[in-house]
Amino acid sequence: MTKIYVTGYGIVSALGIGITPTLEALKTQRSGIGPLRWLNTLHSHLPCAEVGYSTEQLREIAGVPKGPVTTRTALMGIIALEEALRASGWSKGNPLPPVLISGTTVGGMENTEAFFLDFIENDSKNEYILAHDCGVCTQMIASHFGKFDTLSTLSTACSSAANAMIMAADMIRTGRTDIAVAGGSECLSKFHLNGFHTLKILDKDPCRPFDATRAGLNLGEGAAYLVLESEASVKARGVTPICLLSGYGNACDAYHQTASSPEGIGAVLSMEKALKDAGLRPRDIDYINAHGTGTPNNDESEGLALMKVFGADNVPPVSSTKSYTGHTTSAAGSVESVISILALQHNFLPVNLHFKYPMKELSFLPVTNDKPIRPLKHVMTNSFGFGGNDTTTLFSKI
Amino acid sequence: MEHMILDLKKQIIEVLNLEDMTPEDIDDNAPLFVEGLGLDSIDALELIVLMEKQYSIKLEDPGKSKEIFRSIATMAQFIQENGTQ
Amino acid sequence: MPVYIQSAAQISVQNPLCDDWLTDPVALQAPLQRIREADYRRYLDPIASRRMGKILKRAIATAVTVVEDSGIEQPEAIIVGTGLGCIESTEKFLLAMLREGEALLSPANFINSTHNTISSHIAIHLKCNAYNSTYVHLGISFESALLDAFMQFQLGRIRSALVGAHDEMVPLYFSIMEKAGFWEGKTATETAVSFMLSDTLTERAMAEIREVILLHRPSEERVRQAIEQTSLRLGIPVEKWVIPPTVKPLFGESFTNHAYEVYAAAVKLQRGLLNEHVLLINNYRGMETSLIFLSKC
Repeated sequence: MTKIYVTGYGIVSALGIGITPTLEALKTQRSGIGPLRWLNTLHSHLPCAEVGYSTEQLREIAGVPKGPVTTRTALMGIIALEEALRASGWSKGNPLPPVLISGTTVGGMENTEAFFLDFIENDSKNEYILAHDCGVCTQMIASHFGKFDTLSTLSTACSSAANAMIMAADMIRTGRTDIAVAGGSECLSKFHLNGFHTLKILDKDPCRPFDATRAGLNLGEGAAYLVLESEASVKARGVTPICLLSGYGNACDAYHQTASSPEGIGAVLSMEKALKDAGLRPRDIDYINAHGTGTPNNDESEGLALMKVFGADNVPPVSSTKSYTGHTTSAAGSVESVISILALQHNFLPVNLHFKYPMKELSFLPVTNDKPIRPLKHVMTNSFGFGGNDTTTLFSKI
Repeated sequence: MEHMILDLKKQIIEVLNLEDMTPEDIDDNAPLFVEGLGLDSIDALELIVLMEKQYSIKLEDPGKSKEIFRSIATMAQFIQENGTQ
Repeated sequence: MPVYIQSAAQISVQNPLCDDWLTDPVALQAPLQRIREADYRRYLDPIASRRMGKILKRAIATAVTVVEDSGIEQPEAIIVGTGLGCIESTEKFLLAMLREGEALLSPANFINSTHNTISSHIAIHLKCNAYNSTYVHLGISFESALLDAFMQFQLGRIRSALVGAHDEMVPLYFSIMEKAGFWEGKTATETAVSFMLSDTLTERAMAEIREVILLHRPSEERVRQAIEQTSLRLGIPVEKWVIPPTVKPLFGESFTNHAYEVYAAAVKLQRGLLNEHVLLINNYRGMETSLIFLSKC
């Protein structure tokens, strides 16, 4: 099987713009969750993890000229993608990797929700109408850089970015391309904040994944992209890869539209598939970045699935970094992949914030000490979406 | 009470979009969730919205609402004791 | 590994779940024509379908039809392409939020607004834990799904896949898109097509999928190069590929209407109405192009 190398990564989240502030925040246990600053909503009492810049500021940082229609999602995507491309050795004016696969669900909703009544009644914002759907968002991100040969957009809710990485890796494995960029981007919108609110799964306090008192998630926003590359291309370009994307798995819980099955069957299957794909045994895994939303249902179901896959007494160190970034929804798969890669590279365990009380259903506790007991070689990231779209990715040291 | 039960059934059929069902199809005392009518957690959330919209009853925790939503009869009882229409 | 279309089912402006359009086509009514619905009670009981909009019912009905036709009850992948997803639910939730405020919104409309609710509903209905994904890339959403399935076969991960194309169009959203000049006089319709793919050549196999290629803003030269490379690799001379006339006059247009082209080509190949090798080219507004190569079984 073709090996897939990670040769670049870039990230934007409430922890900051870029790899450096992200790593610093994880190591100093600084959370990005706090009061809302930019999103205008009735539910402003709910803590969220907003990226700390206005859309206008993001436009300046991204270097996108004023005028053409853009979205916060696209701007965050551009910033993260540029960091990833540069890390892989690309610079402006050089050919782009041929393939970009991006995950998003909300798409251009931030403009649509602001102007929808105007679309109906006033016609003063009609230039935003065709910027609504997800694919346009990917096109906006892509066109900032030049011309990619192939674009596509994934939407499997909160596992979108993880599945985008799978699509891109499969395009390399089937010989369609040597290099591909994949990840996801999603900004906060009133639409999905309200959607999650109707499901009564948003905590009024900072989230406490894997804690007995957990009471829901905090929404976040962000973007992250990885440059994926075949061995031949890595050698031909003479670049130093960061790590391997050593395996991945996708399965469907097929249980309920929003709830996970009690025993987490989809989660078990996606983790088992990823291990098999990588040719690794459960005991090879040194750290798991859990989906860990902090809802009562997810953490119990995922926790039981971990116990099933790894054995109740042998669950590797687990943490949910949603206690730092909030739940970045469609971007979570790539945001948390980048975080897992940072753990692998810098040999530390991201501490699960706000943990106090063990869950009686689980045999393990989340990570509270950042020192690993053995050097990290293989790390796992779980990303689960509504509808039971469960995806697991594995990254390994070279 | 009987009048309210009939109203409640009509409202439930509407908000949960139970096409092809009539109030007579729903037994007052049959369980609404899992067995019986076979409703699920999203329906429970819809019923919470219904309680607030129609009867000004605020139910925050879906977990604690289980007893209230056990059957049409228990819902009607709760509305009679706590609601204003 | 060969990939065959074992079964295909459509619900459209033509008569649903059959091939009547070949002999007895229904005329399109511009500018927007909704789908001619099937009888969904055969597929779903009212409780099971209580939260499903029409787009979901159509998805289940076409999926169950190809499952029954092919005898493949547990496909090893379920992949859907949709341009706009459940736009009716999205619009409902959005309008309620904007007109009635954020206080008392209904969760069902939000849940049904996520694009992947279609593929996950199919999985829940079939009790299928297999690979499951959803593509939402404008006019090549369906082809993206088809490419994913094709690659899963190539990598030897699966031996069967259920691939769907689903879009709905509601009057308000239609009129809004019209304001932005989207429809350009085309007849807007909706899409509901399911395909069952497998690696086994059976008597009922309709067509073989040879290759799927997605190109972003390609030059004519790039398209020609892709066709030549594929032809060379498959050992089929370029001139053997026949581009059939579009079936848009029969099925109208949506983000995923290209699925009807694949469906119609498969039906015609099976009946000997098309030559041996078929090339379907979709050029979506000059932005995205797809090439699908099919052969007779």
